Amino acid sequence: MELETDVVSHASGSARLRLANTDILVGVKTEIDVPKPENPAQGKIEFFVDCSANATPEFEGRGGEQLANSISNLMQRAYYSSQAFNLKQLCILEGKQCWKLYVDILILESGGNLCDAVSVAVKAALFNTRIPFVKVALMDGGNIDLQLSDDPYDCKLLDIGSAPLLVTLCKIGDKCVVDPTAEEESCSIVSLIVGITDNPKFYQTEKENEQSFDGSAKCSTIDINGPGSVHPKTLNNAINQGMEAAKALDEALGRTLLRERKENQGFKKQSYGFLK
Amino acid sequence: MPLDYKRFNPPEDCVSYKRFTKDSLKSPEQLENEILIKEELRKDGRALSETRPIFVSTEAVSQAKGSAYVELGSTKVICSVYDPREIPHQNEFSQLGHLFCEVKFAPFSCPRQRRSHAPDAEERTLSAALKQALEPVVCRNMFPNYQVDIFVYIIENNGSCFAAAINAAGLALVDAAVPMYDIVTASSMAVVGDNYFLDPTEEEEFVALNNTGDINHGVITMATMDVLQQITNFTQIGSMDVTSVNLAMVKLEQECANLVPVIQQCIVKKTVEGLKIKKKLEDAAKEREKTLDDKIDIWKKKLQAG
Amino acid sequence: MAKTEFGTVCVPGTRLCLAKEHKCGPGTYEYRGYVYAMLAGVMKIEDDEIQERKIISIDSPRTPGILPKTGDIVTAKVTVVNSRVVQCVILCVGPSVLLPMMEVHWYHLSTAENELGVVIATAEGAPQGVNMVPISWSEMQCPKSLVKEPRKVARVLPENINDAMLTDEKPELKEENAVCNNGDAARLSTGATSPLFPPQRREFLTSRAGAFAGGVA
Repeated sequence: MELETDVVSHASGSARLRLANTDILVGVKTEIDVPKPENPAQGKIEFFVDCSANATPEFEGRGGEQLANSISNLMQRAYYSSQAFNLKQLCILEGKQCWKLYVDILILESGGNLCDAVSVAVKAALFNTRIPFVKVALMDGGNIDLQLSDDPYDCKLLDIGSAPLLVTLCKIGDKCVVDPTAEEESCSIVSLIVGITDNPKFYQTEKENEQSFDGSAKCSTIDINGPGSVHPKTLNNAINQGMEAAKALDEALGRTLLRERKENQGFKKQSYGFLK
Repeated sequence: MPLDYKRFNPPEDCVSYKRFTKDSLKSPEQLENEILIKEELRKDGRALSETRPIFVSTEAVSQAKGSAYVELGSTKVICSVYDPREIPHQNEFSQLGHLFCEVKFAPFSCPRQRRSHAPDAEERTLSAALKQALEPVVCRNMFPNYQVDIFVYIIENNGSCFAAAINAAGLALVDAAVPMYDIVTASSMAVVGDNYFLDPTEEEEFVALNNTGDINHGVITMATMDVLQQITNFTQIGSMDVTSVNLAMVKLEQECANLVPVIQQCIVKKTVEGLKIKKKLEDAAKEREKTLDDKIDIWKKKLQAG
Repeated sequence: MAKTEFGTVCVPGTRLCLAKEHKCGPGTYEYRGYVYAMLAGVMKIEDDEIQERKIISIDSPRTPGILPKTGDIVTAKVTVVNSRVVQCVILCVGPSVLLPMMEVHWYHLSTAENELGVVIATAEGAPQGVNMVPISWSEMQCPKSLVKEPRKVARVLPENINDAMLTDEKPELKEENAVCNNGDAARLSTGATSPLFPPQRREFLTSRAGAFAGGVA
């Protein structure tokens, strides 16, 4: 698995993930928006998936629309709970202004296991996202006065430690397979997708870790995909399997992202971009 | 909400009056306390694992090949199924049949906001999930290269609308004589902390989904085929740990199994009625044939004589 | 399963018997050594002529959607005539009348048997309602204009000709049949065809004949 963040300079955050034959590019854009009346203290996040015709000719025109819809729905559901992604951190002024994150996912190459790759890339992109510091003043007459600092590096980062990672388990025969390739996917008629939010300890530095509590992993979304059905026992086993896989994945991802951030801070980052 | 150009639209910054009532200003914690009055007693008087009374019937839509109407408490869902027809926009021959599912909310169905006429994201998700729930149940090899249309219309939504939709669609498919491997039933559950609300009302679902604390919360819907012991659809949204998911699964399986006799009774009743009508028609047809035969005999005799 | 005056009524998924006991008929399927019901209806056990075992099947009051399968005899109406192919709309499958459907694209039809071919045709330029009379296995003649036209005539069994006694008209109704064979080239002879009227619905034959005569593309 190859992951690189900050590949698109115009986006507030971006990441590119290469998982064998699957290639995903995620860009995060931030905008200031009015919060929903039902949730005045929360920001918004929206996912949009685009299956590019580069991936396979079937995605040309509206061919990839169904797949794109299902992946974006899945991501929206996985990030729905406040325990998965706390929208309160996107609030600027309660009831008046908030940040809205547009997460745009581009599938450049489809080689199996799209959902997992997408969730990892999204988490990395959100980890990389910089939100500018905003000074808000409420003027007379209800007008809002926003002041953004001029320094482009004066920004805050998102608390993304508990963002969910999706794990796809393909049922082939009697067993469930994690991280299926395209060939394995075509052999199975049903696959289970589990979104796991683990505790954020992998994404925090040593100091922060001492203060946070150690919670257990939770499912933020479960879905069955495909024209087949499963036995309840298979579902149970699959969820447990998914938990273990997600834990390992989260740990590895957290370490890598922290290391990259440290490298960035010294401006010593060696950019690979798209040439590799 | 996207604008509907066929209707006169209100000004864009209109909001529902309900947001200014006392109810909507309650905090999530207050709402949480309200849905459970005492230990194990819900706001509408049910126990935690008690479901609302269910009413099912078929032949609700006379023009459709098969149809069903399901009421789960005050949630009302109607479903119609049409004959197999050619798959539109299809270039290659497919060995299995397709299912085309569409779920639509009536604009007045939801208590909190008016639903738009254009299909929004939630309806599209539900349509895809309904297709997912029904595909393993239908014998798709019996109508290759054709598609069966299933339309579900949710007239009133007071919680568990998706479970009611799956029940209605399964029953409508049996009514339409589409070959199926088994009867499919569905039920849903809302989880708030350690409380598992079976067959939640809309209020309970809202509290379970929009919880901001640190506890287990969420809504799970599950559809199963009882005889073959298979889960056809399992959707969970929220944040729950594995033990609560497993516990919820066990309870939901039990409830889905409880629904099977209800559906079976309805099907048997309708089948017997259908057989009675068929017999009556056949008897009437035989009568007509007999009178025609008698007439032919009379004319033959006349021809031979004259 | 429920025992009623019509027999044992089953719902889809009802386990009927062991796979060894009976053979699966229409409306049932076999899974892991047992036979289950696929439709809602009355269970029927009939004797199988070829083998010794009985066939178990489900008889549903509502007919499931009928689709033509390979080997079926269908009745079709010709819509387009080209030099290489003739397009038609399938109206009935065997004895049952199909519901009106859009054009079916995926079946190749053949008239390569004696019983298959043209049943009703009208001559070019002849008025509607006047059917041609077959004069040989490959020619038909219009009684009004006396024009002869080539058609592949179907050889129809006598018990299906039942209208002759009821009307004065000479042209007799015959059946037009075609066997579905995926893969065979379609060669329906040019000419109008008419729907097959199942033997049970004799009383409607003459009126329907008028409505469907004609239709040469």
